[in-house]
Amino acid sequence: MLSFIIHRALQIIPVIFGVTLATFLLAQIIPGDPADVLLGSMATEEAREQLRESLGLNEPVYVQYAIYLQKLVQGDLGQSFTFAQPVSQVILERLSNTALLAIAAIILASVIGVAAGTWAALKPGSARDQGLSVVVLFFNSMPSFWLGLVLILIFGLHLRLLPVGGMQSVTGGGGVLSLMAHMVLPTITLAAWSLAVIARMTRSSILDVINSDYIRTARSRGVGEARIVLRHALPNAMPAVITVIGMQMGFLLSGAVLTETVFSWPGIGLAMYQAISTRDIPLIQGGILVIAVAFVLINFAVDVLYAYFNPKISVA
Amino acid sequence: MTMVEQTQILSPTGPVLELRGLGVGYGRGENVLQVVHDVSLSVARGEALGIVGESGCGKSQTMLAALRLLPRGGRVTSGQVFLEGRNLLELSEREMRKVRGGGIALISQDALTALNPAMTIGAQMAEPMVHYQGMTRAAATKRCTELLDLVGIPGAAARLRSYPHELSGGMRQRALIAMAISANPKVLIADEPTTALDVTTQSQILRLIDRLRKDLGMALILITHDLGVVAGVTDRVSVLYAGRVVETAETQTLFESPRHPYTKALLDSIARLGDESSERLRPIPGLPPDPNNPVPGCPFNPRCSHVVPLCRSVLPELEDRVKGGSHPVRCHVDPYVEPARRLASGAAR
Amino acid sequence: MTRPAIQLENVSVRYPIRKGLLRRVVGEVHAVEDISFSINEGETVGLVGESGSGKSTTGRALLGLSPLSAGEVQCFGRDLRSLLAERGTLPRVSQIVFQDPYASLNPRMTVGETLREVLEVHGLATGAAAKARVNQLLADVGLREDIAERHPHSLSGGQRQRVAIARALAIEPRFIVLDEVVSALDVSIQGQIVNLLQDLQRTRNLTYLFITHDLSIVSHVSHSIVVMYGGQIMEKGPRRSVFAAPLHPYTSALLSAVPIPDPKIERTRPRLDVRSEPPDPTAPLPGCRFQRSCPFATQICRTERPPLRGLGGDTDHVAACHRMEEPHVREALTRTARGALS
Repeated sequence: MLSFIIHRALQIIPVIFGVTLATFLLAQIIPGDPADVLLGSMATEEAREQLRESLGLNEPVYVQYAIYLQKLVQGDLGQSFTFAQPVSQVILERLSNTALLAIAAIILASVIGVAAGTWAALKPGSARDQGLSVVVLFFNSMPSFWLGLVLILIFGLHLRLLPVGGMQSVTGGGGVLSLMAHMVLPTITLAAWSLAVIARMTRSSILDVINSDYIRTARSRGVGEARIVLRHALPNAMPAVITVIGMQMGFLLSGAVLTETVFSWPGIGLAMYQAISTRDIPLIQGGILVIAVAFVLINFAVDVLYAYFNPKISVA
Repeated sequence: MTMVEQTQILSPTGPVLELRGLGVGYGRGENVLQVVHDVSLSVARGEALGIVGESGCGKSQTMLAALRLLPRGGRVTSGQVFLEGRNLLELSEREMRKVRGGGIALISQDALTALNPAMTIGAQMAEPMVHYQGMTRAAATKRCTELLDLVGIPGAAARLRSYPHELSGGMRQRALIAMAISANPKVLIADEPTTALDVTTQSQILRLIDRLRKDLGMALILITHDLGVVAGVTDRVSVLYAGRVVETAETQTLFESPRHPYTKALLDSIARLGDESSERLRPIPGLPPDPNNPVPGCPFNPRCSHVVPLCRSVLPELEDRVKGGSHPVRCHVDPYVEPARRLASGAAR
Repeated sequence: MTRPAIQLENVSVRYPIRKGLLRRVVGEVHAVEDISFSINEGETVGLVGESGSGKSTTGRALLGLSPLSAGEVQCFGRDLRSLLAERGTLPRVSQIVFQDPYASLNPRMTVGETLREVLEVHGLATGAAAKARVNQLLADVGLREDIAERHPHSLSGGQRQRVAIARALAIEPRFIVLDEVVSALDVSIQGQIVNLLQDLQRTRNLTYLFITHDLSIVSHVSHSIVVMYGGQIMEKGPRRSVFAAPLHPYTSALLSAVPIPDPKIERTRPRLDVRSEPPDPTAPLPGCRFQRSCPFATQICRTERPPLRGLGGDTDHVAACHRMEEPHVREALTRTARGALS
């Protein structure tokens, strides 16, 4: 198992390199002169040239890449002019907020998705199975910003049950309860699409497994249905589902952009939205890099978890 | 109907398991695919019954139906299943669960797929003991170790911690047998228990099953396509073709004096060790029966060398028309029995 | 004295095992170890063994489907390695038919398309000539012309296997490896395929290597037998003498284990019991491969690998056993064999 983990960890290194290269090139291909953007159109040519010099923009591409990597290793992601702070600081301050939302969303999507998918799979073709298909189709099709706005409309404005945005109350002391209240709607919005995908995957995975010979063996020894599902079917269906959950984590990170914008949730997503609006290239670059690296690390963790559930993989 | 009443009382001399007119089909309404039409058989306490047939005969489906373990879409379309006089088809699911394992146990064909790949052998084996029979974990572990010893698996303690894919084919099958006998069943059904194994392992497993059922006093139903397997272990044999019993007899009698043309043709078609290579084999001509396209009349008529016109239109009954016989056959012609031994019957010839 | 059609000399097939971070080769799987035998033209050699014996690997090696780690194979007088280097020559000489009639045919192609493809790839026929040839091939294996329009899934196991044989015959080979070709079929129709193969052998002077674990079938088909265990040859010789008077305990164990469809014989015959402990192909022990399972194993069996030799200088029927001359061993083996054959 250990050698499997090390092996996979080594395989990640080139991937991360590729990610840094991609984000670096991203900035290169965006049209426009950063000097113009930073200084405005009123600046003199001298000033612009000076800035280009200091930013290393006149060097050949590969030198610029090397400088970029060097700065990355030092934690220097550049300066965000939207927030007038170093990019790394902007990201760090907001990372935990996004992580909070993403984790809550993945837990919600996984728990309900797996439960619903299993419940439907136990009676395929029945009313409840078809009902699930409809719900899944619905959640798969709606854009998250639409869902978010509708939820705000219903629960925030009409029913006045839940806050309409932000992370904490403007008035009042804040605290955990207030945080949780603020989290409900954005979490549901963020989780919706993933829930549908996970439910569908669970359903098909359970269906694959429920007709296996070993399920029949357990039944033939008098094991009850509940145990069959929980102790025999689900663990064998989980590897496929876990892979999907892992992939969903990545999508959640990117989906956060829309959800955070709709709910004014102060996370990386909202920061990215703002950065794109103001063409704050360093922040865009930094944000993409952090999200991509997070995605790679999450997938690594998923692989390890998969091997844990499936003893044959780690030995091979 | 005195016979019926008698068997409904728990009788130590009656059959321990009896199937009457069992039918199994898939689908509903217009599109029922009938895989078992009419199977009647019985096995007495301590007796070994062989069920012989080839692909499409319905032998596995019959036994799954008796345990009410048919896959999705399958249902019993007719007949009854009596375990010591109780009709299993009338039990609730909860009551049936108690019968499974303790009343009737099943050994499947392929031990690799029949064991949960994500659970250790010990965990799987102990599961019913701990969760349904109220044993403590320690007691269950002890019992599992005893069972593994009983089936000849050395190093039981280590084996309990292994996963199925870490064991050899023969050991997996032994583990599966241990699991089947763990609740002391009255009837052990072994469905092609040796087909996926090497020849030398097959022989050992068969002898293990035989010894266990004698030592533990179980009735054994051995489902197989291999007549050699049946010859070595069983007391009586039922031959199935296209979802029906076509012949039932004591083993020795079946091999010495088969009555149904299919049985005879099957025996003749087998390659035997002492044969000369210059002799051609004598396979049964034609194709095995297709449940999707059942044939009118006797299902074997397209391939039978004794066929008469009646065979193509009327399905024969399973009966024994020989004086003093206990060897029912489903055949209009009954070609191998001397006419003098036949009882006079009103059936058209 | 004609030279044999197929000749194997000291053939070994080994696969590397890679472990660790750098996937270093830490050992080898000895799938086939130093085997030698030959097949005469127009005859059948039955290659018998259980799982792990190396019999399938041997069959595949003869077609260049498994790499030869050592030794030589001669096909009709030509070295296999040079035949393989010359593309297109090998398939004209040899073909193979596999066990699983469900897996070896492309489910998306009709039978006709499958057969035409072979003809076209080897430049043997196209267009109308190909169609005629396909019909001829189907007739040769006892199938009607209309089978050409059908897909494999609509055919029975026996029909599929006939198609696989037709495909093998398409290029008019001289040698065919038959790997468990009837094992997946119903017993009552296995004979159809076996009879077909024997007829084809007679009319076309085909040479066969018939690989199987089923001794009853192999007894019917083969002129001579090679018994393999753990990648090595335990015994080989003419069919009759190998089965009637086996020299190797393993052969006797196989005969002992075959279920005989005769209750009287099956319940009373003497058996040779072996402990079924399959040898580890990655760490072969010194001495005889069969030592851990053999009821007659002694000290010498654990240290020296027994050479293949016959009784009294016989070179036709040989076995690799140190103790085969000993009277009580011979008696036990012959008794078991006779028990199975009577």
